Amino acid sequence: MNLLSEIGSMLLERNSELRQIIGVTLRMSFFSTLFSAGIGIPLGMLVGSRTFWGKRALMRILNTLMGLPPVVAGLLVFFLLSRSGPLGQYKLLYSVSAMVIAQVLLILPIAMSLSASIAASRASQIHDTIYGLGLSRMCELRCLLYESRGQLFSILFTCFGRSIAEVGAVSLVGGNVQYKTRVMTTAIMLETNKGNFEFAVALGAVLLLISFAINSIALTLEERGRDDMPLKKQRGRKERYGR
Amino acid sequence: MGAEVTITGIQKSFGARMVLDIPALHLEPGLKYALIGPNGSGKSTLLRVLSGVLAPDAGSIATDAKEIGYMPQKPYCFGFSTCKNVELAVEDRPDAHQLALRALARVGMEAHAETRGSRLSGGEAQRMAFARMIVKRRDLLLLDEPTSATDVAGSILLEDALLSYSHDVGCTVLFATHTPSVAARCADRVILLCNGRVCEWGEAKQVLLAPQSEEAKSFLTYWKL
Repeated sequence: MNLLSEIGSMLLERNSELRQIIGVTLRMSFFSTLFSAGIGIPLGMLVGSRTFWGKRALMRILNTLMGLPPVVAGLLVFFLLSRSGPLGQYKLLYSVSAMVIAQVLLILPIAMSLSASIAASRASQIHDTIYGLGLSRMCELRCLLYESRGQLFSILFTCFGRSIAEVGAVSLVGGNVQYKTRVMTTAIMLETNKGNFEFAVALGAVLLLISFAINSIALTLEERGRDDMPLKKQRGRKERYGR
Repeated sequence: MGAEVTITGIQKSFGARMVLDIPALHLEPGLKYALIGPNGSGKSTLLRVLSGVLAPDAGSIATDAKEIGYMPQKPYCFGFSTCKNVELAVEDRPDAHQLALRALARVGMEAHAETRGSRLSGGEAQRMAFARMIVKRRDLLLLDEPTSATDVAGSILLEDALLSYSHDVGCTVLFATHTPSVAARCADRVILLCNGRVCEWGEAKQVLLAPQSEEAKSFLTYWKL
């Protein structure tokens, strides 16, 4: 309890900076997840549910990219966005946009690969059923998305979790600039290097708290999407027994 | 009026194994055909090829069917309600809900209309899947072991529904089965497949009670009618 109040007072002292760090962290994680999942999930579902030449090779590449070291992704984006790089003219380096680009590079293969695996597990059965009913491809994709909704929520929050915990790539392309690109993880690293262990621990606790809150939401959404839940909400005890 | 189907030189292999080799087969409009044969004889493959789910390696299929319904051996039951599962087949119709309820009633599933499709038992799932087939007018029905998971009462319900639907609509039906009584009760003709080839075919009673070929005799030894 004492430790918690100490953490609380420490955070309150540096309230404005902390708010900014949390804000940038959430903004970066939100947009990284949005772009990665928005592109990765439909593409992954398509890859998983279709049979085409080179599919196995593509899946191998995606699985390999799932383990892409963050610093390598950061380095790649750094070269792309640096002044002499092909996208240097846009002056994106050391901005939240650059951090989002690096994160998308890291998370997109995860979203695609996981979605492809989910789609592959039930695609052929759904395809046969939908085709047998004489329904369209669009209907098939719609049904596939609906049937996978629980797992898709999990993918979404896996992406968010990966994004919020990332440090290597974002410090490379974001530069950990105070009041601009500093996020929770890079702030923890900086405070540790400065010897401010208490503040680093306090930041870590806040990061864990945010992750816990988001994961709780994810779990609730996943449970709601589960097929073994009854369609109609069970009536309360009072209503059931007419009391 | 049911559809006419003419199969010419159909071949299908999986790797080195030839699973289907039918030089010629003709299905007459409005008749019900039972497809029988041992496991791995190519019954499901033939139905998948006819439905268009699977492309043959060689040969052609000519049919005048406009509405083909194919019920796979393990039909998928979607997570939404049983009624919505059936409505899916007629979702463009304004009276989809009423049609679905009527089709469910034909297979004795009206009490499960609001149950999640994914919560149905194997037999209930097959009855629901059959309701999804008969919710609209079809010229050709291809059913892969439609009663394999149902109990005796469920099987009779399904058979009755099949007989009354084919009588009302006049569609051509081809169904695979391992149950002698289903073949005897529902089919006008029987096609016996052995190793991907048609061993014997003809009037149901004739093939089932007095088989001519050695393969048919051997296969039907254990079929008690």
